[in-house]
Amino acid sequence: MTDWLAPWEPTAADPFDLAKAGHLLRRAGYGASFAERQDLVRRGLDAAVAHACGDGAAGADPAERWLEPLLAFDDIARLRETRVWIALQGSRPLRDRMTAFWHHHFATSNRKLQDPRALARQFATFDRLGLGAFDDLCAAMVRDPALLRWLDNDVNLRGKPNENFAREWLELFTLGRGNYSESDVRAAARACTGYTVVRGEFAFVGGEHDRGEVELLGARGPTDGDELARRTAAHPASARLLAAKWLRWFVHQEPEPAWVGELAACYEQRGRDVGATLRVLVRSRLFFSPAARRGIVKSPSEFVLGTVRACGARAAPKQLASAIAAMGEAWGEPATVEGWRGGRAWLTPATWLLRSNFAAELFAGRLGPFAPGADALLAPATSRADRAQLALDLLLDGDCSPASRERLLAFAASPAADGPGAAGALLHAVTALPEYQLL
Amino acid sequence: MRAPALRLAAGWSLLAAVAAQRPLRSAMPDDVVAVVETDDAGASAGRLLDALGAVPKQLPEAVRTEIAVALTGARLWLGAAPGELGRQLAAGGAVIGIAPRTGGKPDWCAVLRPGDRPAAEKFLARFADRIAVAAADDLLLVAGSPAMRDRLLSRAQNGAGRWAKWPDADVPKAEFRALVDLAALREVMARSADQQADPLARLDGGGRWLLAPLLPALLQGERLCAVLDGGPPLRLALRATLPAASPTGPWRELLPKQHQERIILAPPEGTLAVLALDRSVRALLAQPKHFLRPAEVANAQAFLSVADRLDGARTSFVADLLGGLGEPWTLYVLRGAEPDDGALPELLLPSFAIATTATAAVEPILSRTAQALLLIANTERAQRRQLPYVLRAVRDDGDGVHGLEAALPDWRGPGRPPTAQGVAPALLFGHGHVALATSPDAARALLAQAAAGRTAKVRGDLLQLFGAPCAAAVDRDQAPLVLGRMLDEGETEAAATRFFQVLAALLAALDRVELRACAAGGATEVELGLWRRP
Amino acid sequence: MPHRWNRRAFLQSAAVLPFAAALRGGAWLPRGNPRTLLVLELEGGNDGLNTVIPLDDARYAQLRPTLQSARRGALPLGAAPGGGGFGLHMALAKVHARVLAGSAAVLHAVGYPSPDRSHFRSRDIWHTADPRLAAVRADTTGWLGRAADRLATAGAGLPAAEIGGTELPLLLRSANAMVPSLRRAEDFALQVDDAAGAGPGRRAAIEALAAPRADQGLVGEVAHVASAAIEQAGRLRAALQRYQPRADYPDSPLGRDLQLVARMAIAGFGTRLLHTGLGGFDTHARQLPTQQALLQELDLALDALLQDLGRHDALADTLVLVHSEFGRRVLENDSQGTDHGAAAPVLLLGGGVRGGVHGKGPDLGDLLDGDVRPTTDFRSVYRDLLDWLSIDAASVLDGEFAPAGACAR
Repeated sequence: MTDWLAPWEPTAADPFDLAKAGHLLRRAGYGASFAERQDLVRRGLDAAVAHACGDGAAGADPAERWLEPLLAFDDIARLRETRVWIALQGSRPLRDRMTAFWHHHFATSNRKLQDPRALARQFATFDRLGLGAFDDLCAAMVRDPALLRWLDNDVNLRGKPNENFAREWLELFTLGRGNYSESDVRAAARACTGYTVVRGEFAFVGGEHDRGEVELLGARGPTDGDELARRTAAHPASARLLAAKWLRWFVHQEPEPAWVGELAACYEQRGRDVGATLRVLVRSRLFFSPAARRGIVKSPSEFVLGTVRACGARAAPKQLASAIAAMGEAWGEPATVEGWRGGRAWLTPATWLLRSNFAAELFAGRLGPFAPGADALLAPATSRADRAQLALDLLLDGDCSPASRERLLAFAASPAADGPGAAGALLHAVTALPEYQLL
Repeated sequence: MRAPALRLAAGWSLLAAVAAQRPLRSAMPDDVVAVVETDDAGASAGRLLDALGAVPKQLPEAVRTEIAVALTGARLWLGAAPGELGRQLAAGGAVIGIAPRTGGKPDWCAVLRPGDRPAAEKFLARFADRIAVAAADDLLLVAGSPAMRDRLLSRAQNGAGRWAKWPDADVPKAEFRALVDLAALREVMARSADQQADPLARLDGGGRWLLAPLLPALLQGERLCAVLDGGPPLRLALRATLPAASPTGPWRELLPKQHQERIILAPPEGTLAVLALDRSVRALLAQPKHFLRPAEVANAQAFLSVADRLDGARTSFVADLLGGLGEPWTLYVLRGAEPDDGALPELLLPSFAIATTATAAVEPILSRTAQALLLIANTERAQRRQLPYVLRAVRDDGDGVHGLEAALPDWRGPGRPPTAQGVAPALLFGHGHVALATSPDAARALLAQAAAGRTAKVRGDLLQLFGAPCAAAVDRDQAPLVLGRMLDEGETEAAATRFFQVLAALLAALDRVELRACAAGGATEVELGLWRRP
Repeated sequence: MPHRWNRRAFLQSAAVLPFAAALRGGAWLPRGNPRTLLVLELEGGNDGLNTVIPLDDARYAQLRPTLQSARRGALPLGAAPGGGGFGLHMALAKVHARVLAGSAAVLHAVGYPSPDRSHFRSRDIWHTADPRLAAVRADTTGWLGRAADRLATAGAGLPAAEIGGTELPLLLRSANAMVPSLRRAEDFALQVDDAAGAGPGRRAAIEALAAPRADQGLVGEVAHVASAAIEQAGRLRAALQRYQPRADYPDSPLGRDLQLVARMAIAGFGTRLLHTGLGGFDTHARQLPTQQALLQELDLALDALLQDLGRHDALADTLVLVHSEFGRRVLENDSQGTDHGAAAPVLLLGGGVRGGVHGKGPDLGDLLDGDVRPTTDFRSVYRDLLDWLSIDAASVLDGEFAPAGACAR
């Protein structure tokens, strides 16, 4: 395929149907209910992309509205639950996904910080700047109190440099391994001296800042953290690092190298505007090609939130956040500096069991409120075959392999699908299909 | 379609049996274990509804509409206003009896002295397929089954059953009364359910400390009376009498005042709640094996092992520190202290304070223990790179109050101060009392009550809730409360907001709620009282 | 919520072994009867000197005027090899019998150089096997966690677990392996709503839907994972259904936890590294009754566990290490208790133990700053355990340590 970042045009043979709408909303958001998907199909691809990007989102931004009450709790579990709640509202799908993306990217852990409020403010920064220019985001993050304390930059002082922040900035957040030298790390560390945190706020302590000349990424002269942010954000290696991550996040967990280069170029052309680039990506031929279909293993949050949103259901964020954390994606407490490995690493026998059990409990109504219940969800269908089809439509856009469909129909027709909890069991059965683990 | 006619069994004169002056309950058959009765259903219902008062004005419009619709619907179904219906059915009195059946729904029966017999019969006719009725003199005898009705009739004829023997002294005057023959009820339950071991065994240590002095009467008592009275206040009270010689076990040791009358400091202005339990913490910790489960005993011993060290080697936590404090203690919940510089914390928690009498000898022990605890807390905060509490000695500046206060340094970070900023522990002594509180204002307010001699009398256990201050607290911090409810229960924002608006409105409509319990003099009483705001 | 899994995320890195290959190789389920280690931690700092008591030293009575009464009832260890001059606290009667019978071992004065008397730090040191630990970071791993990582790369899916707690202790923190925290064995089972009245065969039907054979690509990989999960859960279910306790476990949290340990060891499930704890040992005041009660609880629960394992023929492949983060000071304090100390004895029970008393007993004339001087490095004990488990000790402990010699191979 050539020119695969070009916009995809639906045709009669390859229309923008339920499966495509579901694909779009699952990736550029946390999924959508059956009714919403049908509505988007009716309104067409452009309207659907606009909806995913949050154009014309109605009402106040729930993330902004609930920030202050969330700060009052000063609790990391409440932070996770609130983010879950915001994602369930689904008013700004791509924004919610990108806040999660940036959290994975700038992985900061409360286990060391013990300061949930600082993390909540970091998430608020992602909400505000996550879909804007990467340069602006970097400028903000180099002064982010949570990030500075997490990477020990608050003890990075003139004459006693601490390289942790500088190293991770270059290696993980911007350029990536192999695109800088050890002397760049030392230079960056010196540049960031004096960038510290006082009483929870960023403070620049001039007396601790190393004003000497450093050679950083080919340019010589006195530098500070803001300059580091500017140079690294604009560096072509950062573009490739981000492009690769976005492809893994939105297209396929093993992207082709050619795609990376093209997407990076597209990003540069748009002035390093994240939102604009992603808008091109989710509108593109690559995004809607068979190569991208079911090419990513769902992360715990995509699995849990996607299931609840696909059913158009209301559920208790507390239970959902707890389940997501148990499956290995505890927001606010990433396991290492690199965040989470993702991809295949999400799925092992142990986590598969957790996912299956989560679905079983959710549909049986044993995980707190699940409104409307499984019975109400499948009530519109009367015959067994119709119920199976409806369950498939709800959860899989009706899009699965013929073999899976046959097996599911056989299950629905069998006596095993009778009795109390039948609707819940049928929905559980759909989530048991291998396709359901894939985004 | 014509309404089904009421088939009345032929009754015969009961004049000999249930004379006008004999209580109606004496007609109850012996298998009835509990009765609910009233002397004048119409008047009683009217007084109860008056006591409940009008629907609170502060409720959200949507909720008021719902209530109005429900009330109208109920009235339509009843066919008359409740008071009028009550008068029709039982202006001269009513008794309903319940007889449990093993493994099934209980049987029931009722004796009514209607104020308007034809109207009463017309009302009862609506349920003709589910009840059996007999008429006798000016009474209507109603039952859930013909067999029950016959038993009722025969008992009414010779009114010398169990219920005739119920001592009048044990029947309080009130609008609605429920009388339960506990002994008989236990017999029935023993037949149906498998023998339950000592129910106290299932409670954990905290539950036992709270309930053990109260449960014996309820579990071993002979008779239980409950009343619902219009007051004011609107009152629901239970009273269980114990047989004369019944063992009480070690639990009475947990009652320092043995539920006799005692004096506590009157709650200061703006108090949200008072909890005055006649319980001893010292007795619990002095002999944990008597009261706690084995795993809890180990925890208590571990706690004491550390607590004993807080003030050095020579003082014992239980004997010297707890021993120097008067028991029982009283817990007050006061409104949160608003900071002088005006920046309200994100969540303004109410202040909690414990007050009791204290000897001079215990002051230094308490002070040193408090300082040791603060040191430990500050070490932990330092590990988490949080600012430590700063300790300040409070000197007596003429108001007789001295002690220690701890506070976090003034908030100079971004945004509003965090919730924890509002917590400033204070340990103050004065006027023979000590107050330990989460804010100095709360501690001072209590000691001011001691200075002015403003006290209150309490018998047994008391929980008081004051409506207006509670409503104000809910209103002020509504946003975090709503968020918490949305996250925990999965409710929409509208539903969660409505919940707290209704709660605040109901609280604002109340003057106070009181829950009292007292186990003294061979009887245990539990009473719930509701005072509305005028 | 029935599940109390910890948040450890990661699993096998795709770069190390492709899933399909690992599963096809059958390496998911270890072969044979796997050897299982339980680390039972006495939390708070158990007073070692009153657990393994010097019977003949007059200084003991001088330094512990009140606490020396423990010596009166002590059970002498003279009949066991190396046990002369010492006795066990009388509450440890069943352990004592096993030491004499040769199926339990006592190791004297285990500790590390420059003892730290802070609960948190000393516990961290024992958990990471690193006395020079600077600070616990987000990616600090524990020694059992590292052992679990070795097992995980060899294919074991659930190599380690925390029993009874909710938080995963530092000792089980791993880089790659998933380590859950379990309260009940049923936590690791496939839940299907097949309550009474539901159609029969629901469970089998859902299992069949999850693991079809024919698919390729990513879908096929998912199906492989699912089938492994179902098989594991099924085996565990069957094994647990067959399990009947053959000993009387005391009705205490420790008793329940140890019963779960027995179920997992007997089921041959492949979870080989387990940890649980018993708290309350921080006896700063009135030590005698508290320690007596705790040691008694420990003795009864351990005995039940070992009897149960023995009667299920699983004892030879199970090893239990009982230790505490430090001992306590030799000189008693003014509150009939003791303060934080240094070295303390550890107990080893189960199969693979060389019975008797090992190491050099505490010398009350040669104290280290008032504390028992450590004569055996705790990492030597760990070396013994790792050798017995056939896990490479040098890489887990980040160094070579001489074996303590308390375990047979």
